[in-house]
Amino acid sequence: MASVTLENIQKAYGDVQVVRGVDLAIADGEFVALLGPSGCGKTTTLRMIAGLEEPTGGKVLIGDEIVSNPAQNIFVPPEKRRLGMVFQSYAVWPHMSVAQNVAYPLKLQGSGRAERDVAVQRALDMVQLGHLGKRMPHQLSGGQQQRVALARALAMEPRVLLLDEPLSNLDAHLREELRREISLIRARTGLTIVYVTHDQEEALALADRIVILDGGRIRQAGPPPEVYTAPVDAFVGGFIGKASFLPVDLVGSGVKVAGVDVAVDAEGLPEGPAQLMLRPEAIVLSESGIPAKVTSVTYLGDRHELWLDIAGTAVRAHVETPAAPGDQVHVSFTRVKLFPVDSP
Amino acid sequence: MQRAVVRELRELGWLAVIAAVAGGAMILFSALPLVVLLLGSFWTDAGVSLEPLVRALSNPETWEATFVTLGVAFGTAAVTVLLGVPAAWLLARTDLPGKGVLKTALSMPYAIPPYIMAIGWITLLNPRNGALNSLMGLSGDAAIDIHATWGIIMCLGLSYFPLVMLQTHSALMGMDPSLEEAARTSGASPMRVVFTITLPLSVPAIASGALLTFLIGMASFGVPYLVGNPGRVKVLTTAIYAAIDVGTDEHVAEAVALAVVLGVVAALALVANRWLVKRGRALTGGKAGRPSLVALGRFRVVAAGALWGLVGFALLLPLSVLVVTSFLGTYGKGLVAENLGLSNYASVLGDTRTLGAIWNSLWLAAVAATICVLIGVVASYFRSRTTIPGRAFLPWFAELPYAIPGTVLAMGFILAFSQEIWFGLTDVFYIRVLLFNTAWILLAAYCVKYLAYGVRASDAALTQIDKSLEEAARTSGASPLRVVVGVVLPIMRPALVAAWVLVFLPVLGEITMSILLFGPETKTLGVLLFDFQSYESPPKAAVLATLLALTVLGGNLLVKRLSGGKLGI
Repeated sequence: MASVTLENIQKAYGDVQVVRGVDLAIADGEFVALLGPSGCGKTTTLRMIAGLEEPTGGKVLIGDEIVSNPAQNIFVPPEKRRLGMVFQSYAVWPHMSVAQNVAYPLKLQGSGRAERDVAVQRALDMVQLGHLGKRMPHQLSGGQQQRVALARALAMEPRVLLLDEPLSNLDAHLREELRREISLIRARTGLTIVYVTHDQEEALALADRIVILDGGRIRQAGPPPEVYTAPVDAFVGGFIGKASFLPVDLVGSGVKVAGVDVAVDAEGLPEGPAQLMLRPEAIVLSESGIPAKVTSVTYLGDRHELWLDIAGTAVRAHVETPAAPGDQVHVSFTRVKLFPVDSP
Repeated sequence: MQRAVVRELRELGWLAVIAAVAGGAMILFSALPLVVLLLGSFWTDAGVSLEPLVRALSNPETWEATFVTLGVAFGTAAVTVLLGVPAAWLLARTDLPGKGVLKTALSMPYAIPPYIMAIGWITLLNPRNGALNSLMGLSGDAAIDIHATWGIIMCLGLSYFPLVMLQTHSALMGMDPSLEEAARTSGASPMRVVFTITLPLSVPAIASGALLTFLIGMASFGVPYLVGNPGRVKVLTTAIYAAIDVGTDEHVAEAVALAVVLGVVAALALVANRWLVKRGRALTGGKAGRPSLVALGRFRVVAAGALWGLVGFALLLPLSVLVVTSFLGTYGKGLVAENLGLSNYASVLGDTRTLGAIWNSLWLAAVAATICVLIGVVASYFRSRTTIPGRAFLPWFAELPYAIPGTVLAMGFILAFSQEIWFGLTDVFYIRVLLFNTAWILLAAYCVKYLAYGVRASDAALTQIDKSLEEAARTSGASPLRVVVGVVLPIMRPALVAAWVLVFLPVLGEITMSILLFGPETKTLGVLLFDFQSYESPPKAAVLATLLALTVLGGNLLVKRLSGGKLGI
């Protein structure tokens, strides 16, 4: 197991900059999720750690070893990095049995037959496939194939485990099952894990730290509660959770919504137009307060999702008491966050 | 059930009539000759007898021809794999410079009729006055003599390696790149990935390509005829031709038996190929992405040089020899300025015999291409858009003759149509048709052989057309025939034009069937070319070969443009 350090890494394909200087120190045993919309550079960053892409600038260290630094003309190819990797499309070799798939990296490490068999069985047991070693991949379901890929990555006792959207090809039910399994394996092995996903729920559930990327740069990195409750900008706030944004005017250090004062933390913000971020669960129906009109209601089982018209803007709210479309209600906010308008 | 079929047929209206005619013609001309051939091998005037088969099989010459044929087939498959697979890998997986141009250039030999390249090689490597032999100062016993089995294999291998290359290339491009990346992160070096992951996963595609070139090697006639000439190397196809040429009953019976042997081996190979293709689809699939390329480093130049060398060897060298020969005044006098001129072109293009043959081939190719495309559309439309029972068999009548060696097919035509066929209801109302020695037998043979191109192109184009487009036309009030003519055909047009050219080109220079089926009045371009090369004047043959090669290359580039790069070279 090892730490991973990225120092100002960059990747360009011709004139197109995909990663524009990412700095990140991943501690030994840490579980980091790289999260962002498609095209944000998260997969490219992971592939640069793996050695499947060569950075055009910056340094990559695994432990204390520099594995990539174009300035010094250093590039350690992927096969010499001893990192386990799991791909979105499983990448289980269809011409090898399950056990042969898992044994492949061990064979390349030069381990003996008996030792290898034990390691293969242990890895397959870890992903609950101990009984399927002789099967061929096409006889397995998607979820099982991804478990094989996971076992293959674990069997080699990697310094770091890299997962590239491992659950994206699975249906919702399997996704949750395998997600729980990954977190169990993590607890058992204490591996350093870098996990790429576009699914914020996965990131929130699994990671010690979430790194949110956009346009090839890190927007914010922090533990899940921090990025959820204290997003640094409207992009992060909008990307994590289901926030709505109300256009407001900052006058002095306060804002008004539909004529009602709302307390905000406006430190460091210039006066003038701004946007108010509202989480659905931070909106409560109250006797008095800000007037709103219910435009639609959806029953979600454990709560009701309302779309409210507040001063002409559509806002999503999750409440426990039902309401009907057309109802005139009053709301108050338990938590808000103010961002400048120009922040995307 | 039956009522539903009747209703559907009635609803299809004229379309059903057209399909019935097309289907009837397909079955008559593709199944009948093969059935007659098979029956003819044991059904003689004296009744059912295995005697002709037994006699042919107990003849040591039959066995020798069979072994040489298998040797040529295996050799062709081996050469095409040895050249095609490395070329495909270099084009698909490395940072080789100029890959696009190289791929096109490497595909070109496949487009040109292989006997044309063989004529080029004979001009280079015959022991009497081969240009390469003289260049290297080899003469007499020291001279390289291409008239041998290895010469046949070399010519076929150089003409058909693009087939294996293209098939392997598309398998490599369709492979999920993460399969190889997973091996890299598991600790495998790039070369190790090639041998433990990439190649094993490409085996179905490679094997199916090899099987195809095996089949082609087995069925080839033109190259073994010219290179194995005169009578030095006999394969089954040339043995059949020789027997037919003699023409006695006994020889014809022998030819029939040989054709059955050849047909049975070919049919087995076809079945194996279908199985491999299916397996290949199961193995690749998944999402295709941009594969990571292996950096060749200092081998980059070496590899590019090797592939360009292959282009030179397989295409430019034999072709340029032909072009030069076509300008030679006196064959054998050598390449000097006063011996060069257009005299061959003048005599070839001023000869009514030549013009007649060119005209025959042109109109036969054009009509055959049109028929193949039309029937192809009908057959694939019925298969994919109706529920008429038996619709799935129609395309089989196209695929089977395509896979059957042309020599075998032509033998079937000779047996089935050498007598008058009698169509009639009563003794009074009937027509009698004699196809033998007419252009119509050639036309029918060409159509049957190349119908598969029309069906495949239509299948591919039809699957691209969403059914709702046709349903929208139906609900707007159009009859099924109107839907096909007004909606389906216009959308399919580019693909059909491409298919038309793809049938037209090989028919233009066809030799294998033509040489068995042509009549005194119906000499074709290919037959005349062979006459020139064998008996008359190699420079005149070179003129026709040059013109044909240029037409074919130009036509293929046109198809490539028409099909957006999907068809043609």
